[in-house]
Amino acid sequence: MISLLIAIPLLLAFVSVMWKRISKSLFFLAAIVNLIILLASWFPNGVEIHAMGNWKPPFGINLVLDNASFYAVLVVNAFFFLVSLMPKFVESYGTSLMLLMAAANGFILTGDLFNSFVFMEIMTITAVTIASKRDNFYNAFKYLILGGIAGSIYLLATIFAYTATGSLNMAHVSMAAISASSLIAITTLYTIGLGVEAKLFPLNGWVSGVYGGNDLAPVILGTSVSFAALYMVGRLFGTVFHGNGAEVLYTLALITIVAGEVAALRQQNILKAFAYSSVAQAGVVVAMISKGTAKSMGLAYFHLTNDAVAKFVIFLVAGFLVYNYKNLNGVFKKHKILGASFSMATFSLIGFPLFAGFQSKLRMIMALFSMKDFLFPAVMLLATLIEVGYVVRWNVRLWFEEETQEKAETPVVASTIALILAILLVAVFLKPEIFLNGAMKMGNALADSKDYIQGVLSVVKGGM
Amino acid sequence: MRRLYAILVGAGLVYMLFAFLGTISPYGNVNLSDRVSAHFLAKDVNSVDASKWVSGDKQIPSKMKVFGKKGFEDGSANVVTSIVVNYRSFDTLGEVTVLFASAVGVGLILGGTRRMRYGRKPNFILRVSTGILLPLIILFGVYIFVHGHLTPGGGFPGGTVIAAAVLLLYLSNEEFSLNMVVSKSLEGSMGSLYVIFGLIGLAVGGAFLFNFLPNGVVGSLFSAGVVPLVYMTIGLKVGSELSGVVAEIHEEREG
Repeated sequence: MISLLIAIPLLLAFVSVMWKRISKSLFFLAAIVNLIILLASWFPNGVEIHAMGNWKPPFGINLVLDNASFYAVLVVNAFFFLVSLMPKFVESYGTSLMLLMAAANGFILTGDLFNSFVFMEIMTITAVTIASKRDNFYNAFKYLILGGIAGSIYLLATIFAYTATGSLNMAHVSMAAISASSLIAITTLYTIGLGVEAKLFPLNGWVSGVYGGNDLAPVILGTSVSFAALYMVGRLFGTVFHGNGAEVLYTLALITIVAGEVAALRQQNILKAFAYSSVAQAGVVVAMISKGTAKSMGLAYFHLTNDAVAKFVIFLVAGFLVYNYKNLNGVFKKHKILGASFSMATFSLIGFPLFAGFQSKLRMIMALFSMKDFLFPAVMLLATLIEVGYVVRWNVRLWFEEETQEKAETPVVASTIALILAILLVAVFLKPEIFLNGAMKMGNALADSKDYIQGVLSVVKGGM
Repeated sequence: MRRLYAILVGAGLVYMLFAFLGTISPYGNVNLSDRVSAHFLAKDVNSVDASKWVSGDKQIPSKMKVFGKKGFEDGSANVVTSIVVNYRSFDTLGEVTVLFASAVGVGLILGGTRRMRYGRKPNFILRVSTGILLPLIILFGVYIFVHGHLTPGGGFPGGTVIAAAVLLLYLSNEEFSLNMVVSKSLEGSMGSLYVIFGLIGLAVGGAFLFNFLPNGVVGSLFSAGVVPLVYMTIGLKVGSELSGVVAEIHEEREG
């Protein structure tokens, strides 16, 4: 079954080249079929593998569906489904979006290091294509260069892992004895390779240009693709390398948080401001993952889910505003629903009580205190202070300043989706189990590398 | 300042790579039976007990000759093909998709509709030799991908050679322009066909990209099961795709 998650969007993407006109409907079809497949295999609570071509691991390539990859795939596909509901948004990018969906699913599900590199390549190239919408060529080119370098370094890391262990299978690499010096080489190279997609500090120069350049890129890249990339950080550093190299990640992530928030505060363009905020939140998640326990990883993905939902709303609304109004002052007086959802999402971003962000931030800080780590909570609280600054500034500007322009047509589907997601954020505050259960299961599965190895390598024949 | 930063980062990267090179064991000191690829060479993956193999009980691959014999789990005489299109076929599907994604991106970014004219007459030698070479180049490309499971080559190089023929047509004739409908449908249908082969494998053998045809005698033209079919689809797809890219580069936007 799980191979269909990749095969169906891929097949439909190939078909859509022949019939360009129906590519949007095909994208919708792919998204809905994938959601149905996922709902049919709800939380496997074990490790299911699908050996490609019946070549058993570690020899062939295998897909792994455990609680961690299931939760990640579910979140990613849900966002793709939401995007597919808005055909106005997709324009002629249906084929690229389907490829991106197939690649993100493959990247998450694969249990093979080289295979994950292949899917990362597809992800980067389609993401660059999407980033070039609205003739945003310069920034897309910057992203292409950085993504290309990151891809080659990821490949180099994979080569080092192969020379050290003689295998590409993640479970096998995880159980193999690797010498300390090769381990440093492998983890450093993977940090650089994943750092571009995970938006870590020295490698995130592309983010503001790509997210700020059009309306489609931030909505899909800032939610689904970053979720996939951050899942891989947890999988590699949590499961495969047992927390080796986490100190580097931790340091870089803390710098990322501060740098991202300060840049967001200084930014005058709304899309770019929240692009930097998404950098900072990625830093929070990576720092939390680098603590390495099941609980910290679970909370990291809980926070990431909240952040992704909030960012989806923010980027959706901001993208609509930027491309329909020249001057954003007071536009929410005309679009009350969009405005309400935007404000709710931004308050969730700060971690204001009544919204989902509060639950995740509070839990993270409590967990960190119980681990005797005081530096990270301090950085997080400082970041929250800066966030309050720009969130309040944007809300005041968009709600209360003097309005100057004619009203543009309200996008009905987009505002409904934004409102539903904003209400979901409140619901998560009232009942955090909606996201928390899945995220904690994901954290447990990522931290438990013994179970993963057992599940992948003892099974001889792959089933459907 | 920016330049200094760039030099520092570059120097750091170079230093790092040199430092990491020391972790690779020197040539000749690697025990090849520790590598999964040893069993790809011997075509005996199915006879290895994977759970024992990973826990250190390495089996020495058999040293038998495989050419001209039958009854192996994989039938390609070209060992690269047997890894690329059979043992790790999913990676190849991914690589095909990488190329496809780039071609889609080129189409969306360039978005040309009209053949670009350079206002320069191609010279005599180019025009005449194109007529002579074209069928030979296409034949060579087809040969490469049809024999991909026997000799070095395969779908990617074969398709690239065919696209080179189209490039030659573009260079030698200002009036020539590729029929994009044909190239797009060939590209799309061949790409779908690869996925459909995978899905047939899923239906027949219970695993995506399962080799559902008999392997035959290693070294004969009709052997290796599904591999030659996959290589033909890849060859046609890559050929039409790169031709499409060549065509798009030779087009310009209106106005």
